[in-house]
Amino acid sequence: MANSTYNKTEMNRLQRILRRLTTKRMKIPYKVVFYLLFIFAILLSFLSYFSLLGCDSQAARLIQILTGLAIAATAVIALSNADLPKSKIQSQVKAYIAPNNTGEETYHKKELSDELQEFYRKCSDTFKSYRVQFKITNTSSFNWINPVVTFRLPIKGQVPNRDNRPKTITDPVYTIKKYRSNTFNTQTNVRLLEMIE
Amino acid sequence: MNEHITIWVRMVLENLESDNDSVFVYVDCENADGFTETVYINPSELLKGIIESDTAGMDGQIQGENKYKDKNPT
Repeated sequence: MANSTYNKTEMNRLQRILRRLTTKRMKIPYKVVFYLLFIFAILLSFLSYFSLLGCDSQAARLIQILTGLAIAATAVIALSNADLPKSKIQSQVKAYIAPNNTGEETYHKKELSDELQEFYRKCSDTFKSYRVQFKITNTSSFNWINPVVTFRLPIKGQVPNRDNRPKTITDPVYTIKKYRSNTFNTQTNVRLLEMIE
Repeated sequence: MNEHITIWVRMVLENLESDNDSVFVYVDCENADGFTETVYINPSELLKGIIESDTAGMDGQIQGENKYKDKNPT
């Protein structure tokens, strides 16, 4: 009974030592190599204990091998420290319309070109566009260095726009559709906003 | 650490499908691996806040605050 308790304590101590030897952020291949080296060293020690103990030349060779393994383990730790895995970004994105900043714009279908009228056929004769706010919150445990934000937006949400060509009275007011955003006024580290579609 | 940025995009919500349309927001940075978040756009849910504030005479944002005021309202 006392022996099994002693063994458990020893096992726990060994586990604690092994946990301390590798860092949490060590990549899996490094961990595998490190533990293999450790197991190999233990096996060699047992082999020497049961068969080769007492033989000076074998003992010297064993010490040499163990020293080599220790050097290899040190090299693995050094390599893994130089090649740490990247952290993962954690963020929360919330879409909403701010009641005091709706940016509401009204369009009449008769002001649209034929192509746009076809595009907005689902809408009523008078429809509106709004500023949809996307609040991106950094929930990671670290600061983002030079973040890049990319949006992929649905085609159908585009708003009617005027083109710069000179117009006559009979020409429609809105002839093109596109997205508009406040990204150019954002004074943050966001250095690029790529809009697809 | 919980800093945020707010970017607005003008959209015609009436033209969107209520279930199928979503916005993909991809965030990447130099010191970490990127992350893509899918935001489902539900027009009726988004407009509900405005209608409620109109009827109650509310003067303020219902969720969060816009840290970066836009200088070029379009």
